[in-house]
Amino acid sequence: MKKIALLVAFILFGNIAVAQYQGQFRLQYGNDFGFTSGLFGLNISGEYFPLDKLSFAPNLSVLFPESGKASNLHLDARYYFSKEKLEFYGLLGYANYRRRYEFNPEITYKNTGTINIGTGVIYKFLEELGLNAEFKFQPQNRNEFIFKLGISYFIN
Amino acid sequence: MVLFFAFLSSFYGYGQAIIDEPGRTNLAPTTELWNGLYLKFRLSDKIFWYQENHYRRRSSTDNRSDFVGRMGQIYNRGGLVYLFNDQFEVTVGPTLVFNFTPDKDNPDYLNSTLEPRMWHQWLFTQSIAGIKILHQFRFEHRFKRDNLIGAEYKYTDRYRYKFIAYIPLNKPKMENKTLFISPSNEIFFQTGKYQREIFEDNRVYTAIGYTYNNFMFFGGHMWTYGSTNNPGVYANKHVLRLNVMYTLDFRNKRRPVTRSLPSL
Repeated sequence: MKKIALLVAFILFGNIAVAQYQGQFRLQYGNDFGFTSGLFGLNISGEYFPLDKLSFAPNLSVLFPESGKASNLHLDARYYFSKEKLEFYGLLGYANYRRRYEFNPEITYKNTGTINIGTGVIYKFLEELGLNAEFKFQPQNRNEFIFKLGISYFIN
Repeated sequence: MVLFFAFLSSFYGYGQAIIDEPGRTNLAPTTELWNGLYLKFRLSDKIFWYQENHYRRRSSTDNRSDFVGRMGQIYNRGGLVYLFNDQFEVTVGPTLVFNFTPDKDNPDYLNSTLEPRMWHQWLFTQSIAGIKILHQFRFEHRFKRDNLIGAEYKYTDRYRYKFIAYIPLNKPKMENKTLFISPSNEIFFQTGKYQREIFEDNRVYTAIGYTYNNFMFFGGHMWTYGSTNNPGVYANKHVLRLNVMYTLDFRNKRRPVTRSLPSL
């Protein structure tokens, strides 16, 4: 019985082509847009896979309001339901939105925390590069819906 | 005949106002020091990542010749380059500039403002008798604001053409361990709702440099002449530039971890 079980397991694993990402590093540049705030931003991101299909992707958006300054620091985890060429992922994380108001009144820095829930796709058009589109929702405090479009570089 | 011309001259000045040509005012020159780091990483046969980071200082308000008295800008430019062939490449990317206050003690000014841009560029390369010549056409779309509190962002389009020559001094062509001189000239034009003059700036730059393995060290003097926010008033600067360029080829350095288990 044990031998049969082992044989079945071996055949199953042998017939599945599994893309393994454990240990991979990626860098990403993108632009994002918040539909509630109307703020356009510049996003840079790093990504590391401590496990196959599960990655940690901290990223920073520098936003451009009419006055003052704004930024969004995201700490996201991504789970990939992927094929090698087209990679779909779901994400869950935490974000800190920081806003500085210049006048009326002047507020040095206002921090707002929220969770991130979202999904994305990476299309690997070259061995080294992929096109990334991502939707993210921040339900707490901000009720923000963010769309990001960017380029990913696969370091290894 | 004399009477005829006397008759004609009596009409001089009628029906047409005499307008004096506006005078051109040239401000006294100021000085700046720009320190630049240039990076070019080859990601694949045709694709590069290009990046520039600059730390720029400018002269004090009360001492125009001290080069470093005030903080000027922190300048960050990046872009993806596509190499069509050895003579032509195109770059597209973002720029983010931090513009610092002209007067640190004035509470009406913000310490720094952000200036985001999108830029794209065509670069043509040619070689004549060992001299490398570049024709750089760069286009920028930028949102810029004054440091005064409450100032609004203004959008402008910028068009730049730069002619650069790399002239090797100790080798027949530009290669490793080459001492070179590099004269260049760049002219800037700008358009936008708030722009009154299309000519923005002209920069004449003479650099001397040395290539060593993956590095290029170069620097020199640049003189700029350009329009200001006041019509008819022009400013000029003497800029000392110190730069390092570093290139790296990632093609043979990648060890992809993405792999598939073999099927039986």
